[in-house]
Amino acid sequence: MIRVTTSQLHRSAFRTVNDTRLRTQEAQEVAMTGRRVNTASDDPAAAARARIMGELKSTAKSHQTSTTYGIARLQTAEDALAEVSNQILRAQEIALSSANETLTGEQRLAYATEVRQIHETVADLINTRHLGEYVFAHVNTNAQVFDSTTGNFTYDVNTYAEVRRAEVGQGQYADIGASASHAFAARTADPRSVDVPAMLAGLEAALVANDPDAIRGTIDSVQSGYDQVVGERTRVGVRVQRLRDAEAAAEQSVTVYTSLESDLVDADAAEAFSNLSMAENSMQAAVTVAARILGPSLLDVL
Amino acid sequence: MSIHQILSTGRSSLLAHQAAITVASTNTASADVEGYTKRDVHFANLPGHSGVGIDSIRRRADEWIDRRLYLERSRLGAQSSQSQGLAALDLQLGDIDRGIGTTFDRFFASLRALQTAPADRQLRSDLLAEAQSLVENFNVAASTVDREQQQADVRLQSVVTETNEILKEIAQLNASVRQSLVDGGEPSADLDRRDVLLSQLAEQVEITALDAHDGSITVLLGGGRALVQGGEAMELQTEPDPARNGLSQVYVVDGSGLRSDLTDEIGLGKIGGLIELRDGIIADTGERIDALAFDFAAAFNALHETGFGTDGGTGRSFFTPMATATDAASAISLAPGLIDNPEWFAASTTAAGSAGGNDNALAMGALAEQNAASGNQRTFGQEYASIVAEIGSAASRQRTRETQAQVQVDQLHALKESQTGVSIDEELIDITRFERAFQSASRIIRTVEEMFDTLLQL
Repeated sequence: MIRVTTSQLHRSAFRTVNDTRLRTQEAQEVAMTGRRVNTASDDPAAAARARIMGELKSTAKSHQTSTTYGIARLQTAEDALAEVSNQILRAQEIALSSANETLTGEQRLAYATEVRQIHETVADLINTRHLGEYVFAHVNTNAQVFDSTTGNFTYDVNTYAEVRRAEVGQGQYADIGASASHAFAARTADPRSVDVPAMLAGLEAALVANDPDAIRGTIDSVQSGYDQVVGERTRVGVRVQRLRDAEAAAEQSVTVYTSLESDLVDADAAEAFSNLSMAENSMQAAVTVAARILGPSLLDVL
Repeated sequence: MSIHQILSTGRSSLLAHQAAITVASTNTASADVEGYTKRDVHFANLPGHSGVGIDSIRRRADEWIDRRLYLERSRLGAQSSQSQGLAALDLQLGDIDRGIGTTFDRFFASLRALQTAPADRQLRSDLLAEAQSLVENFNVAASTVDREQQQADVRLQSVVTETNEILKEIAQLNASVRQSLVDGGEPSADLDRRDVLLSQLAEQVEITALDAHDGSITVLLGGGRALVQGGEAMELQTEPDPARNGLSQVYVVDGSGLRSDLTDEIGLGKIGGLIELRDGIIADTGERIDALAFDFAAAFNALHETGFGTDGGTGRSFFTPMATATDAASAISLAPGLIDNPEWFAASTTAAGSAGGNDNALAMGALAEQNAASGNQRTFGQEYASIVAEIGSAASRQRTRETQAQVQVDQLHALKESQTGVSIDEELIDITRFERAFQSASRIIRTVEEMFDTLLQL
């Protein structure tokens, strides 16, 4: 026959009440924090995966930041290229108009003044800045791309024609810059390329010289310069689109990883509160039963 | 049968049941005394006599349950001694929202931001600030591991001291019990106390208790070495081992003064648990964090040293170079001067691109996705997640094992209690029974007295 001793009863009651209090405390913590994994020991596998999800989410967020920055930078470049192309169009109109033999020298001189202003505007646009950086610069984005006093580019446009790249996705890199070499410079690698500022300076000189033949001689290069700028603008547009796609993908990744992380560590509110309610009921039952069992004794009746 | 014999019978019953009530009273009064073992009164007819006497007062005991209890207490001791250290590690290194993992994330996020504008001095300063934060998190993790290891060691020394006290007292009780039996005494109280001490000893270290058949018990360490023999207790000692960063080794010194190293022999009990905690999970965690810090610093430096800063400088380390992975997490630091010179950060692979090139920064950023940690098995992030999971698993496993060991101890304790413990109800029944018997014996004596009176009036 199994004997039930007094200390057994007390120990059992203590253990049961203590266990139910512990379960209530755990359920309370989950309900209060809204998380079922607060430290790794709560669910080691989930904690490890949540850490990976956290890393992926952080990476995707940084890709979002990079793409947002890149898009803004490229849009600044695109706006500048659009304005340069407009200016070149005007220069083209002037070249076509002033090539007409009927114009007087004074009229050509007036056009020359306008072309000088276009030249200066284009020079300024080549040195367009975004958040303090020269957007058409190759590497030294703190230095001007074009020196209007010398009429030269400040770096070797033949050697450095590529643009800055940045990581925009897991193992994915995209161009986040525009190239002054491609947009405005004459490069030996491309015989058709035109030095835009020099081209404008040439037109201005022809106008000042009141030389219709010389003016006609610039018309093709003005057209090439326009095509060159528009070509770079097109490439910038493609880059912007690429970055927008990457930005959308990064945004989606952030959403997905946030959701996965939440699935791993967050508690279901309904489940958390129903568990808390069950734990509280269990604790009350344990206390009531303990009081009922520990109370009666032969001492009460003898 | 003569009237005197009847009187003698009544008297014997009176005395026997008075003694029985004393035993039942002692049982009742001692119900809450830790380790108290219920005494049973065994009556017997007196030889050559019609009366009754107490044949024996026996302590209830069950050697099999005691042995099982010692083993389970040793397991419980091993698990419970690890709970504090593992909980601290879990809390400080297993937090998935803070620590090295999240600073890795922020560091690489800063690096990606820098890739978009590598000449930006503010972004360079931000990167260095995040790098400093990462370094500090490695230092904190190393310090946490070291502190927990030291605390486990201090607790080990304390437990060894407590164990020596227990061993000494058991040896003294052995001598006392043995002498008491020689003197024909009743050493139940000493036996109870010795049982309590054996239970306490089992929590400290795995033991086997053998009856020496002279009233004493021989206590053996789980591995078979004697800890107590008769009235002699061996002494456990701890001594710092310079080869192990001054962490304690555990020795046993026998009666002849011969000292033996027990550190690798003790597997259970608090001593075994603390050794396992200190030299197992804590040491392993420390080594993995050191390896992570070393691998990361080495991989980052390898790229940084080949790159060029915006000032045109090259060949500079990003982290102070470390020769080995040993203590790398506490030794890792930013290269001297770097924090005040953001232009030193070598974002470009070429001198020509030093003014604002970012190709080296792109290569450094790609380290986040390369299997460059843990013997080129995992990325740095995966390795840290694996460390977190291992700490979590160890803490979770320890909690489960502790619960299981506690259940085992509770069940065996309940079994032991059901056999040797005191039930107040049972004792009250016994007291009532003995009281009735005492009253009956009194009635016998009064009856005899009446019989004498009747005879005297004849």
